[in-house]
Amino acid sequence: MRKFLQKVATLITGDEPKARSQTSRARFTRRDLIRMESRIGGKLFGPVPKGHRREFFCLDRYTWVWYEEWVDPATHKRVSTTTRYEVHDNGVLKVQQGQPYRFVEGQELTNLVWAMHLYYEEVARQIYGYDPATGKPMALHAR
Amino acid sequence: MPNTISSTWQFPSGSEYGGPAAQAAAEQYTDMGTAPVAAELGVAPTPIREANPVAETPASPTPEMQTQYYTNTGDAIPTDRSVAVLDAMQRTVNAFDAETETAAQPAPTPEVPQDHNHDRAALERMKFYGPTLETMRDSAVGA
Repeated sequence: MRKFLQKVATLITGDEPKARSQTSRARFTRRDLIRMESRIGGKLFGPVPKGHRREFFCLDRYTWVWYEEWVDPATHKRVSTTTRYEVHDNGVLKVQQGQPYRFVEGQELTNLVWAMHLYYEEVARQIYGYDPATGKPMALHAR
Repeated sequence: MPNTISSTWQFPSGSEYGGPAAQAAAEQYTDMGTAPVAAELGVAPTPIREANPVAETPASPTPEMQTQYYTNTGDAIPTDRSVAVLDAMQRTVNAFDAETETAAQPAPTPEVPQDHNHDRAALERMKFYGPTLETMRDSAVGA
């Protein structure tokens, strides 16, 4: 009966009904979504060492962030490092505090693009319910 | 008679089997595929080239040898004009060979351009992930 009503609604409005997961996401803010994404991103590089905190996320259309935090065994103080990757037309610029800007190249570039690829696939599937291969919602795609 | 002898084989009349006349006959017929017979008769097979030395072209023929060559082969004796044409053709061939050899050499390895676009494909993929994720976020926030 529910499927029948959905079909009728589709014929009347011309829109596909939204999946349950999409409806429940409506209360999330943009910050919430990025926080959820970073949890997935932090696991892409393997196990996080004990006492470390790692985040990796896409900040906006052209900026990616890697944040790593840990306790310095010598001073027992928390230290952190933030690396920003800016995607430009002529390359990916790596920005770290206290370090000169430089373009990512070689193996580091290969690793970075692979991490972005995994991030995109996992986030698209797990958070937004999109099929990363087709770019369409998985609920609709499976129908 | 061994069965390796050609059916066309006949000793010259009056010759003695295995004698000097037979050897001369064997030398005469080395170009008839009868070399095994010559070996049987105790005569080393004579290369066909040696049997017809006129057909050879010396590396540096004397004028007399050239005249002899053209007389024997029946080819037209080259005039100054034909020699000039042949020389021109040879120069063209040499130039072509030199050009081909140059083209066959590996091209020098290009230097990595300063705009760091050596991995253009990876960069294009990176430029795809960010905007696509942003679209998903916008869709989720606005849902």
